[in-house]
Amino acid sequence: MALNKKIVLPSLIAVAILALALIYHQSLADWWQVNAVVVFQALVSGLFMGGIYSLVAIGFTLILGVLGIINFAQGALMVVGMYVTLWLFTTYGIDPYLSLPISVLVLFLVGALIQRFTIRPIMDAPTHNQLLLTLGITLFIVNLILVLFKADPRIIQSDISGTRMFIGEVMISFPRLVAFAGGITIATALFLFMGKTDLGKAIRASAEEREGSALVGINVKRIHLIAFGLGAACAGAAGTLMTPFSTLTPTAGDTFIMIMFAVVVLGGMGNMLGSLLGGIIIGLVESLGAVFLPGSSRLLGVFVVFILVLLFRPTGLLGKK
Amino acid sequence: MKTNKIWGLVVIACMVLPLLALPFMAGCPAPAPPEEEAPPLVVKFGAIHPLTGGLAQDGAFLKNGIDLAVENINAAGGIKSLGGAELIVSHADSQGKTEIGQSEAERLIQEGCVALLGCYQSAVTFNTTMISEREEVPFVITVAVANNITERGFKYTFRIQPNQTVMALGAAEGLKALREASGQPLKTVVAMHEDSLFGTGCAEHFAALAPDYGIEVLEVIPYSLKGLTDVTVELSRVKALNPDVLVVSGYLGDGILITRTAAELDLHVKAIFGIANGAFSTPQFIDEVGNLANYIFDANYHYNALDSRAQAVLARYKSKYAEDMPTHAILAYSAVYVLADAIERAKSDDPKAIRDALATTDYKDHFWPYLGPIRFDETGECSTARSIVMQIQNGEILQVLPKEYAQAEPIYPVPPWEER
Repeated sequence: MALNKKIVLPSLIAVAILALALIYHQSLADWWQVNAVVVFQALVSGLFMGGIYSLVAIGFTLILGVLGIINFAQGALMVVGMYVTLWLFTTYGIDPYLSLPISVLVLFLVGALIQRFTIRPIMDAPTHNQLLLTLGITLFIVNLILVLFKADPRIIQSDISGTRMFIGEVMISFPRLVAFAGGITIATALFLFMGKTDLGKAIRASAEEREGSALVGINVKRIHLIAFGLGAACAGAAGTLMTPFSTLTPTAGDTFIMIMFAVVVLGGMGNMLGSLLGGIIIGLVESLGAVFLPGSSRLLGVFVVFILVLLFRPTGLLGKK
Repeated sequence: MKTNKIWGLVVIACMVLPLLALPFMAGCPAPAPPEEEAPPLVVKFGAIHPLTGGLAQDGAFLKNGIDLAVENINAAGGIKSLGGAELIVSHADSQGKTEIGQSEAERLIQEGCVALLGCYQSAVTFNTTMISEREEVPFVITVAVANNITERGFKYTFRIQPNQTVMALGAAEGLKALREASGQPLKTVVAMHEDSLFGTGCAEHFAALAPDYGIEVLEVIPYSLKGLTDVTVELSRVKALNPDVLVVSGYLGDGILITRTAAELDLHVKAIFGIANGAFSTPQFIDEVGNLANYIFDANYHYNALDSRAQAVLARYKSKYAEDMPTHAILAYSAVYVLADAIERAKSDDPKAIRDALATTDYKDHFWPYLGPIRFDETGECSTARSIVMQIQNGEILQVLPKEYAQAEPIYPVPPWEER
């Protein structure tokens, strides 16, 4: 019976969709005529944006997995990366891509400082306290940037900004392509670092078993410092990679945090490979959402995925059962 | 011991007795008021704007505009019908929040302000005008575009600037005029708008009016300001629809993103045209996107740049505050003059009398490209208000339509992106 149900229901739905498609065959064909390019463009844009989502989410997942802390400040740290790049660009004329190592280093230090002086004292506090703390850090960072840079939207017009090529009618934006490639490269590098190096293994060990790792001689406090720094550095790298094509505002990280939750839940809480995959899927869902659901509802698809995953596969795509 | 106690009682009595006497003192009759009330030496009004928070920069512009107007009026002899009474403004900070704007309005009225000015944001203005209506104190809007502010049958709210409908009308008229001036086809339009009250309202009114001006709206595409990082999909939809003109109602950040993405996509529309756009006729927009800003149109409120009086005010502002005076500061400046004109004619600092005088305003000495003197209809809306079409040419915002206000010829169709 159970098996029957599993087969019957989906096939009924499939038949219904096919029937509808046949009925609306002509108008569908007309629609496709106009919108084929739009759909392909959405796939490309979604894929590129997904790379950035992956990078921010991997940092978030690292912090969550190792420290057990839900870092709300991840979006704000990304914005710090953006404004560090803006500052270097406007003051010293440093190209955004050249400032990538600097912003990664700055964000690593900022992350380490935040961990040392605010997170460490409350490592054993209840989860909601930790959550509120990172929320407080977010507010602090956003308002500090407001004071320093004002609320006016800013852009960075670097040499690569606006460059692109066309495949057929579909536009491939170079800065977005670089952001995607950079995001995936950094995420993969981090993934390899965690798997191959001693430090990476130590980080994973303390994520699995905090007290056990301490017993075998791993300095867990130092590991936490490094893990938070690396997580923040990922956000900073994502921020910097976005600057040649995005509009900078102090509150740019707000919506990112919501999307990131969807990414992390989809990929499986604490699973880095899952975040990588989840980022790309969510990027595609959001972008295709913009084709079919206009305006504010473009994020609807993302949150539908979020809820469906929580309901039917709470461990996420790659999470352990 | 006993003397100590007595001394203690005396000390306590000394402390308590004055307290007991207080109510009696307060009850003492004040010196009798004179039979005939002398004309007041000062007339105080309030102004509520976002002086802190994300819009603090704009709030400062408006405050400066008001201060400059007050200074000029007082220097020219104050309110003459009240014996040269001095005009005084009390500035309040809304922090950009409706509830704070509301409580500041209450405070200013309690402190004896005979009129209020404000508030730059439609949502804040919506609430503060409610307070002034209840307290029967006139309210002159400096900047706020939403139609619904004046749709509640209020008697004490007055607006000088064009509202959303008039802005949309200005855009439709502007496009028609552009077609006639250029002799080029201009029929199909796609309307993009940010999907809050402001952008949605402008686009909806425009879509409703467009057919009357020979314009076909192919599609209305909303976008959300929340977390807006990419409009590639929306603009490739515009590209697929291939309209003559893309009209956009939105703010600064999204305007920048749309312009850059349109250039990237090589969107070959004959013009990009703003409806009351927060980007397309601002110097900040040109600062950010540089040459890409060239040839973009905007139908928006704007002082008449050809009027020498406007240029004089701009020059005074610049010498006083060492920055250029933006249009919204000039609106605030004009609001003070319209209020002072009403007080002059009311010959009184009674809020009700000022309100009645405002209702019969016929203010000719303004420098706005309106259809005539500033007059208010029964809803408090300026019945002569019009927007004006501007185009960015060589990094300068120039008036191009209607013809009598043109500083330059409109360029339509616009050259391709790589030639800008």
